Amino acid sequence: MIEFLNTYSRQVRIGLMIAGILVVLLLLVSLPMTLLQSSIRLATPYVLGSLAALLASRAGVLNLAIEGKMLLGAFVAVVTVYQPGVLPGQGRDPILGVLVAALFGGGLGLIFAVLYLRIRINLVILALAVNLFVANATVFFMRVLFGAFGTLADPSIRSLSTLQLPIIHNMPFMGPLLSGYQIVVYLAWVMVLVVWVLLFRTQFGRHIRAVGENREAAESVGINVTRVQIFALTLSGMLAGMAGAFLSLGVLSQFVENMVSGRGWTSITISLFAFEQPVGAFFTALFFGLAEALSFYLQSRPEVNLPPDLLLALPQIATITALVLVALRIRAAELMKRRTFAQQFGHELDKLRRGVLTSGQD
Amino acid sequence: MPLAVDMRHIRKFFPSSSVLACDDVDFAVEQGEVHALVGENGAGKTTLMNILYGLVAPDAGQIFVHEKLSHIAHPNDAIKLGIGMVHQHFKLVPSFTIAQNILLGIEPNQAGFINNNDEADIVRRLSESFGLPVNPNARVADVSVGMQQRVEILKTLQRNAQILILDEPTAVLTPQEVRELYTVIRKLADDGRTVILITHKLLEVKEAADRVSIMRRGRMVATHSVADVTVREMANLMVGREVILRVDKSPATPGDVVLKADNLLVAGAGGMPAVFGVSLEVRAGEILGIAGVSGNGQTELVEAITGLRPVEGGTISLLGQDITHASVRKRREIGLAHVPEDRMEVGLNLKTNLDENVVVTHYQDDPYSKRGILRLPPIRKLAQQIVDAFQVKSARVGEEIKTLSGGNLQKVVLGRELYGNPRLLVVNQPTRGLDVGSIEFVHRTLIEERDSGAAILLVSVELDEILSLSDRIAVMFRGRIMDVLDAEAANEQDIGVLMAGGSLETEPAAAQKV
Repeated sequence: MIEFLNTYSRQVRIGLMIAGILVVLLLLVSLPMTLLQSSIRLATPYVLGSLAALLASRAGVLNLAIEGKMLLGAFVAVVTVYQPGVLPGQGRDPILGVLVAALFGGGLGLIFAVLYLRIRINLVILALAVNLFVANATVFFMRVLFGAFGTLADPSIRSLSTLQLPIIHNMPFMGPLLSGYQIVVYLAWVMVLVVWVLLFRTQFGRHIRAVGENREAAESVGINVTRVQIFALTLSGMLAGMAGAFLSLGVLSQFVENMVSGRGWTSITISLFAFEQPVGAFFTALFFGLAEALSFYLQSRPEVNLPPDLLLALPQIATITALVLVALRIRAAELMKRRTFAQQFGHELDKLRRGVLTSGQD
Repeated sequence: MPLAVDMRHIRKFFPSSSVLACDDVDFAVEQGEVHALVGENGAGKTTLMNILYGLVAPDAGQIFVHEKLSHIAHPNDAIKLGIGMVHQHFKLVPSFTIAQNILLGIEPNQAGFINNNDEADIVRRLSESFGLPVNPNARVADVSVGMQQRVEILKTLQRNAQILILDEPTAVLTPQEVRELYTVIRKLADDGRTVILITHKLLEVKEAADRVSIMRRGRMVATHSVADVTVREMANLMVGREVILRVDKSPATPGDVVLKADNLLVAGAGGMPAVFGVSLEVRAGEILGIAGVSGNGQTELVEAITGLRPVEGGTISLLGQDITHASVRKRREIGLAHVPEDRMEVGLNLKTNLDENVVVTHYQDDPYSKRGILRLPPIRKLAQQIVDAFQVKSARVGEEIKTLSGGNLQKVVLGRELYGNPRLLVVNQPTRGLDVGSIEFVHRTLIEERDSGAAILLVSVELDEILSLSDRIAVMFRGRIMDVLDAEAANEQDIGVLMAGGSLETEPAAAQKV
């Protein structure tokens, strides 16, 4: 098996890619349009969240605080557009909420970076602290500032407006599939491209990757490692904040206590699964969006006779499967490396031995 | 010739390890020469070069670069002065291409955007102008170690280095790659650049350098023209004449084979073999010493035998049982004990107390635990027994051990490992950093253990230790055993030749006086 993978690694990769494309096409054709649309919508927090995760880990920092940063974004976005007394639908533009959420997410990312890099607080403890702090602080401020318990909602809060793409909108199939989503959905797609260009086409992105992969190499040529990491964490926070804003303003138009409910952690899984590649993360996120949409969809179907708890757990099952696959891939790569080594040098050793034996007989 | 580098009265003391790494060292290198800096591990040569490169700040002394007094506080200062360093462990980004690595930090860009083709062109021109062919678009992870080193050299040249420091450049290279490297070094020197070669391989000095400076224990002991010294003279200067600790011992009475390794293949760092076809036998009641300059595969060999590193080829058997892929616990159950090289990190856990440290190899046995629960009274008794039997001064049952001296820590390790009468004892650098009294104690204990019938595999870079304790001596060089000598017949010179990769039958031409 390993030998086979070793010899045909390129072919295997191409084969997997073709299989993936076929599966996607099959899904597109066979699944109902409403399910596909909600998959794309629900994937958006994952797209932005996994970009946030991969940007940080590309810079060599495992960002476990994405959950907290998303929750902060969700809360701040709603607070920004919360205007009691204003006529329903006449409140501030929700886009403003998204921008403020990105700003706060970035700010939290910056604070996180400074605490970690300058004051040298343990990364994991810091991340857990941030997550717990935001979870409780949002509840606290909801009560103190707005007297709201559990949910912060108001008729003045508008949800994000939808955008109809020119030309594509009127195309059959493509139109309903790709057009008519909220603006943040498209923003997330653009961010995939932006992050890709940043990482792979700019000098700064190259420094980010160098820092993440071999910190000493970066240091030895005079790259300011701390500065690079602070920047990456700030940008990562902004993306997470946007992801949170979409959760509160894009779907429900309200803030609910702990509404991120694990999506930040799932985003980290997605980034790992996609080997920290922006485009890979985008497609993986779509798959997770599908899992989430499917769990809602199947529950609404009377003919599906599965326990609703199991259906609700679909995204989590997908997460665990993804993590197992990641671990297996890493293990297989290690085994392959050892196998190659043993073959190459074992062979040389044999040759050497035979050489010694024959020369001894002469 | 004008001096490219002139370091005067350099002194550096490391308080954390209380080592005086450089003790009033003078070091001068002429422009356009290849100057070898040799010495044993810990002689201070790497520290001296780290000072020149701005990685370590000296306590005292002056540095003149191209005859100008220079203050070098950071590698960036060194780079500006035209000093480049190729570290022993390469500082490359594996997933980047060769061009990306060479231009890291100085990427040509337009408003922050970079162009891969421009970079490849720059690197192609650079490599052509120095006659060092590389494929700019190959990923560093995919190319050989020799090529990676070439990338490091080009990296310094792109930054316009006039003085190149190469730290142990041949440690990871194949013989052909070493040959190519020598050619490159010579060419650089002919172009008027200055090359400083840090090494402890004396044959290399003969082949590649013009002059040689020899350090021993933080002091500069000699600087010679390479043509005027032999390998033996250099070895004597490097090791020095020292008091040989005599150990009284009776002749060994070897019994059955306890440890047998056959054609072992073990991987080291960077995907190169660290142990390459080693076969050896250790019998009950004898000490097999493994001599060699450190970094020639001894550590990996020990780790493979003790189960800390996977074996990629060949077999190991202990008392007739195949343990090639056995777990550490399985090996210990059969009768293996291990005194590791690093007692602070591997041998002991300094964060916990004496009791847990001594019981850690036996905690699952009766009477130390029952049904998964540790039983403290027997553990305390064991700790007390070890403290008494091994005279571990100032160690108390139930108390922390991190304040104990190195000698006492080593006694704790020995006491634990010898408990239960192991059939095979593997010891690696057992007296490193110990005072004379502790060294004597460790040596006596090892001899006693041998006389009571244990097989002992002793690995040490201290030649005196090997000579005074071993019954047979195997010399390792580049992952292979060069020869196995009878300790009675062996002498320091012969072992020195083998340690440098020579052979006893025909001494290499390079070792003869020119």
